[in-house]
Amino acid sequence: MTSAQLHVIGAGYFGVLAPAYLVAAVRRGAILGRIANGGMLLGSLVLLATIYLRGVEVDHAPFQTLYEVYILLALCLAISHLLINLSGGLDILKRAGDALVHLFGLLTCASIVVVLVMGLQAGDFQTDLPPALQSAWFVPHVIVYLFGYGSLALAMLASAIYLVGGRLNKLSPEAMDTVDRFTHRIIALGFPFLTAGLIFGSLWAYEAWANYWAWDSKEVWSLITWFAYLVYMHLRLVRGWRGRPAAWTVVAGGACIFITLLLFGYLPASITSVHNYGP
Amino acid sequence: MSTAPETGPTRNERAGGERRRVDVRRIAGSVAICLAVVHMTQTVAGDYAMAAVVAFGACAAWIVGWRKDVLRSVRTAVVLLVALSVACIAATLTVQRSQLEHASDEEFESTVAFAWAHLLVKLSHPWPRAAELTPEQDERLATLAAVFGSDMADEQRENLENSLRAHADEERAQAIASSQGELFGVGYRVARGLRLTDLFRAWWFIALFYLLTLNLLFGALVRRKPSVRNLGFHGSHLGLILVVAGATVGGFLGERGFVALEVGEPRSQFRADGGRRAAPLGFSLRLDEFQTLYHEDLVIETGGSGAADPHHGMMGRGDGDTLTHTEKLEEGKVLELAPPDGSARYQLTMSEIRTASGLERVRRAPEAGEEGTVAAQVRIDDGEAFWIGGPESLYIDADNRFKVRAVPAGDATDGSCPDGERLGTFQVRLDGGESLAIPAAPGQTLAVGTLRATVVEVYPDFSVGGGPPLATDFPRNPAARVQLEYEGDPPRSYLFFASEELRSFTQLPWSTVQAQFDFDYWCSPTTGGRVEVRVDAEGGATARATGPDGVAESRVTGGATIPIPGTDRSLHVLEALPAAVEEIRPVFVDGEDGGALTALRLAVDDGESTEDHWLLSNTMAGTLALPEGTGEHLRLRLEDNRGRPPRDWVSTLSALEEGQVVATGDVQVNEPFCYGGYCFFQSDANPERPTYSGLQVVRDPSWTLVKVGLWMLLLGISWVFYVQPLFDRRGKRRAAAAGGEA
Repeated sequence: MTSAQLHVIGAGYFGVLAPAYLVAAVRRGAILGRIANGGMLLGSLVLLATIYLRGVEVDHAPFQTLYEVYILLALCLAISHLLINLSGGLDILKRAGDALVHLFGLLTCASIVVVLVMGLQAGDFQTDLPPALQSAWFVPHVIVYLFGYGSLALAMLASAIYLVGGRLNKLSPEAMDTVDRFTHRIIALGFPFLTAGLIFGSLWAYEAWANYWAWDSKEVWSLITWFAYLVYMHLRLVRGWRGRPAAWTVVAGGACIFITLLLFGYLPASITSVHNYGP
Repeated sequence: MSTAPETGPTRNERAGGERRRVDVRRIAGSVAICLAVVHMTQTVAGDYAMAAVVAFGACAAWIVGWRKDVLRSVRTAVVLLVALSVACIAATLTVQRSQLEHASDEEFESTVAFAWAHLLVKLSHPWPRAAELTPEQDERLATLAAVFGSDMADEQRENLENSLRAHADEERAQAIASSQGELFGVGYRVARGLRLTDLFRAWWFIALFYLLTLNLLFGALVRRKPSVRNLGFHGSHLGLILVVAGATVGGFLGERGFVALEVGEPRSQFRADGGRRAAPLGFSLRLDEFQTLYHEDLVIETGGSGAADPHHGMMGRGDGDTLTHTEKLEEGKVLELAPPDGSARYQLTMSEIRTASGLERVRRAPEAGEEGTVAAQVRIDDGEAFWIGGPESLYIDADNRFKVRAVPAGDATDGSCPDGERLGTFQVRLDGGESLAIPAAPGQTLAVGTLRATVVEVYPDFSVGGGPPLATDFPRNPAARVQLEYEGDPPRSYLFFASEELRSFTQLPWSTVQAQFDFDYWCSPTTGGRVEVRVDAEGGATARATGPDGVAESRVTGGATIPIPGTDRSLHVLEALPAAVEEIRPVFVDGEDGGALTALRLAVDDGESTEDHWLLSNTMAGTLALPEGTGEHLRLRLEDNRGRPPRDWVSTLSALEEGQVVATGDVQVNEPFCYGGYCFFQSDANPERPTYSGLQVVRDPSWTLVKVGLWMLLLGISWVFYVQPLFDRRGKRRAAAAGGEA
């Protein structure tokens, strides 16, 4: 079996898991929901095997091309969901109703499917690792960043539930409050990873490019992303921001992640960036 | 913020009770915005998928963010738009300025004017412009289509049209930039005045950073009491202050620059401040050796159903069903190989890896069980000695003037080589060693098993590029169009070249027949001739030289020299063997500098016997086909991948003080070498200048401080989010317990 085949299987698996959550949400099927939550583990294993196979095929850590990053991002989304579940995060959300837990699972699965399909479209061409990427920092830098991005993307989904739910008057004030706390919980999980990615990158950049911070356009975008969540944390702590403004900050952070990670290769400034390894 | 932030519940209450109706205006507006954004993004970013995502985002924002207060939304939108535009302009200008570091302000101004004019042109005409090809270009494309098929011609046509369009855009932009130069100039000077061209070194930008640091210091650190619970809070904020302090110290006390080294030439200065100033190192730095390392792979190809795509086949890339697998070179590595059909098993051992300067063909007497063919070693005048005979029976000398071949005694030779005639052969060589040849002339047909080859056309001077196609009769770049047909498949046309550089592309993956195709074509001018060596079974040989003035013949016993009649040249026969086995082996040069190619000795064990093969990287001899009986093929290829980016560069450096070497070390990407407060980083190399290495030079006394700051920041933030909650939970539990007691 090749990694490309397993990739398709993984996309299909999450494509089946998503309707399971949908049924659980509509039919209030608590047991089905619990099975689906457990199903995230199997999906994670499939994606993990995909990455392992891909690594064997390309003969280096498979985190170089956008295709490889998409698979890792999908895995990180799934693992973030698992960790949120294991650390009791979903129990918080449950207080606002089982349906919300299932809706969150549905959105997670849908995101994973979208990411995997984007990966399929990106094309699985392989190249050698350029000299700058041949470093002990390569794997930790990419993994902590992608995990940070994955969990913060889930935080954006929670914020979306908050904003859309509020707009449609589907949620009680108590439920809104719960979703808000749930979002904060996810960000508290992912933000240290985002920080670690930034700092590992800085330490690595000194070794590879002789400068720990060069205002390279990718560096600037990742700093802007970090600031977005920093602003969220500080406004929450210092100003007591809750609810809609906080949720919009999280959405803005998600947009920054989208630009830094995926849109970056299309920005005119990326041509001169040392981070440009081709889309 | 003085007003209390809006919260979910209040919002809900406000909107509660209102029935939501389908709003046609809103839907129409959303669709219009969606289309506009798709169009704009597609123009700027050139990607529909991305545009769709952005558009749906915008659409969602439009639906969610709809406000009754239109004036307020418009005002917000305008402010946002202006802020975003300034940010974009500043970022673009800064990036462009750093790209053109050495340009004068005037040069940069005109570059910026052109760039903005170009953007205006693209925005004002987002759909593709018409592109008209010239009749000559059309004609050349038609020739391409005839030879290579319409796919390739279409691709070429698209490329040509795109470059025409780009050129038209650039011309318009140039016109606008030069006519509106004054306007652009004013805009540029305003931007420069605000330091937008060097944003990250602008005083107001840096000032913002220091304000932030002061804010951290006084606003946060001083206020909160230190405790174990608050360790993370203080650690992270202090870490950030250390980073900013370190960057400040580094900016004042540090130095940063570039040094260009040549092997063996010590340097005691480097170029600092973007090349504007020469700074002393305080010692001398010498480059002792510079190496470029490549990705060396043993490529194993398996599979292939035989549906050879004509283009891929021609380019030698293998058909779509071929699976390739690469193995890194490592002495002693053992590989187990089995073709997917299970017809055979091989054990390969990488028994020796060396560098070699090239390949040589040698002939030796056959061992038991081997079959040899007739062969002779000859030389014309003082030229290079070479072996003729065996599968390689056709040769011409360095001046294309003599055709040389070795034939078994008694073979008929037609001897026809009329003056001024152009001669060609098309040869199919099977991997079993069998080879068949036909004259390269239109209509000639050859059949090997179920494979039929028909020569369709011969082009003495084939040209695709700039020159007129198929222009002359002189065989500068001979090519033959040959139709190959296999087992009733529709026939496919292939183009074969005679030149050495293009010849390696003429190897086709075939389903059951592993065949190599050779096309040869040469000119036999009036002064030319023909040389043959006939060898009989007893080892006796007769050499025959046919010149313009007749034939000279001589018995060869332990070497002979025969003058070629009518010329001032002569044929030397050094050795003649009635039966010889050809062997290709690498040429090793003694000493460390053994050549630029990689040679791998591979022991191939097929279960019955072990055979040694030398593979030489990136040559025809780097390919080895393993025989097996069924439809799959199994092929090994040694690549050092010089066409691909190198694996790494290694600069071996010595630091010298007063002529004495005080330190040595290697620099690779990601592995700097430090001495005397300076660190050197591999940063530049030039394939054309193998003795040159470019290094970045950094002296940053505050790097340790920054490093400590970064780690404190990371550990502090982790503490805040992962450890501090444990304290809080324990505190809460205690409070709950206390509450329960009360």
